[in-house]
Amino acid sequence: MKDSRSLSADKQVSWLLFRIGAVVALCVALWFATWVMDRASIKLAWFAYAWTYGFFVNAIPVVMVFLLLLALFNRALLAFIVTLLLTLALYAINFLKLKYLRIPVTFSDVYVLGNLHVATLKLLLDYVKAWQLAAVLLAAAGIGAVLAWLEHGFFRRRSVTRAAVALVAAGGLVSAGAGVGWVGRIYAYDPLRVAPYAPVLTQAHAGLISSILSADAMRRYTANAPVDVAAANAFLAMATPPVASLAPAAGVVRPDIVVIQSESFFDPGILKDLANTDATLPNLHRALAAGVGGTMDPPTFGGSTLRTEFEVLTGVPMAAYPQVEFPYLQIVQPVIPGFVRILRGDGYDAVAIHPNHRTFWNRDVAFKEIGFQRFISKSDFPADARRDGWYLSDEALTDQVIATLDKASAPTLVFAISIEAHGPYLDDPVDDPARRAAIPLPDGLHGNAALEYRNYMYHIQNADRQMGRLWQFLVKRGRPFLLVFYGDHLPALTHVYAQTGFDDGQPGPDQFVPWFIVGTGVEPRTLHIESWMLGSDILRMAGVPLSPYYQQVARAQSALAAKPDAQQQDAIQQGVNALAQMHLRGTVDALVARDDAAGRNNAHVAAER
Amino acid sequence: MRWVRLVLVCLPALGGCSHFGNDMLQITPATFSDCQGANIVVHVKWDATSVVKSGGVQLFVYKPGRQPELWAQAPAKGEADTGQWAADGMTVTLVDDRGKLLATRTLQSTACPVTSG
Repeated sequence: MKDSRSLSADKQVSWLLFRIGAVVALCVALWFATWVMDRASIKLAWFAYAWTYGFFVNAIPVVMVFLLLLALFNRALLAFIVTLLLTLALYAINFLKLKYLRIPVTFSDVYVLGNLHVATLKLLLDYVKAWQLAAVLLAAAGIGAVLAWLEHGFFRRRSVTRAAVALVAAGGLVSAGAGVGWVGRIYAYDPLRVAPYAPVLTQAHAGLISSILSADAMRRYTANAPVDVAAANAFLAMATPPVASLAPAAGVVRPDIVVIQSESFFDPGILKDLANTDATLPNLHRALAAGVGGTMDPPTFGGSTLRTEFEVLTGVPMAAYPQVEFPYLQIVQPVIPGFVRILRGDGYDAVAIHPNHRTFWNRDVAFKEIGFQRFISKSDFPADARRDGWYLSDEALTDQVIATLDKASAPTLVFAISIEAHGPYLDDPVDDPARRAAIPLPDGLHGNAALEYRNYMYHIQNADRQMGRLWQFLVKRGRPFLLVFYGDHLPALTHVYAQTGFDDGQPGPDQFVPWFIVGTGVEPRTLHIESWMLGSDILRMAGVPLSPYYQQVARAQSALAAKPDAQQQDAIQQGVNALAQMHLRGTVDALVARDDAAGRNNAHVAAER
Repeated sequence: MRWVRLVLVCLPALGGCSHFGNDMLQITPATFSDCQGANIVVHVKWDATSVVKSGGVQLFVYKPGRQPELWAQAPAKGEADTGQWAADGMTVTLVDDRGKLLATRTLQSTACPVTSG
């Protein structure tokens, strides 16, 4: 570019406009190039979802990088090419990660960068051709050197504009990295159309960079949510009934623990026009009579399985995080405490099994954080694993649970999540239509409601049958065991609920799912619980010492079982919510334990930042 | 002003890139509402006769980020319906018999507006 000092005033104005135009054109080019690279990395049509909200916000950080480099290098084309190469590198990594790991780049990858060492670099380099990478880097360095030499300075010496551009761009990038307020507002879930169950679909809607910034903003918001310290103190100071003893199952020998989270499983006997399900779900009723169990209040209705799953695995009520709809995406940290990690510390192996895609609901990431050593997902099931209806069957899942236990050499926790009974229920390609057609209907159910009911019952009868099969296997196996079973939520049987209500006259979201624990040394007992209490019950029945947080969960369970008045119930729930937030931050156990060691009857909690 | 004019000309041209080479492949509908449910039937129409003089074409389908799966081997011109499995982000590619990519189309969805009451 020319030296503008020798030009007339008119030409200086034209020259200025030319330079501004050039920068705008390069920014626009980056905007489009970023979107095309984004599409290419997930193999979509080049301009799929162009002109959407995601398209417009996805490249904002890229443009900021360009402006920062422009100010630093003082060379427009050089800054453009370096920015383009950096963006290309991000999308190449995304492409490779999807190819090999089937998950896109996420902000969790920052943890990998934080622990980068030679072995990691070597492993990563195995996925690219080193000579190609070296050639690209050399070519880039060569082009950069030539451009730096040929291209004239973009700004004048001691230019105030240059400093301002650098400050604005650097400020924007730093605040984006720090996840400050504006990031969360621009990269919000709804306008981006985040699909929490499918990270690649989110990228399709919003672009990779938007997806990363959106998830990061929500993670930071959650991590920094204010803690109601007064509520925690009030609960710790509260006089509560003693925690009921749940007899250890097997003395010094740790039982194997199998937890079945059964998709959409509820007892249709609570429907108004159905007497009971003793004959149709025989194993459920046998288990409820033989073990500890009853009804459980899940934090969701009709879907969003991961909310119940998160409560069970972590002991954290979703009520502690009212802004969080999808905990596996919005609560992301290297270590998520819960009963799985406590069992690991007690010598257990921990395996999760789910016959669906491993990235669904971000489970592949979440399960590592929660402490599972292995996650067996759909791609690990045999190619001929049995399907029934839309999904892999409960029979195939039970086969995997049994195979996992057969190979176990240490006390083992198996957390199995079924999928067979997932909707839709109107048009369901079941294996045995004749059996479905023979399922008796509650009085008055007809049309779509009858279709829904029969398809649903067909699948939960399979769930009941497979649960009975697993129970029998565990008994015959001869090792101490606990079999834990619960439904994750009521199904969305829209037509059924419209035609027949519930026995108690309350709507579907106020209904409960069944749960039970049967196994070695378990005495029958009926309990109503919230799903965040289940982990504490499992630990107590397995004879594994409770962490200070789970001791407080057990206290809350005991206090709520005594049916306190509404005001006290609220105080207990608020106290647990506050303690749960501290539990996730890793601060509650030490505080409660320290107060216990000091001999105080009621622990108090120090102020949280 | 030249630059402004240039940008004004280039922007629509870049937008038009979405159709570059893609006229050989059409999907109907190209966009559907989430209110219609997760899966729909899509009508796929292709015409590669301008570049494929002899032999046929292949059509692949895949979800975003997944491996393409062969859906159809067909003459250079034709049309077919998918089953009720076409979903948001599903991409169809048209490939000639030497494996050269001729066109790509992605099925898009629009958000289902939330209605009160």
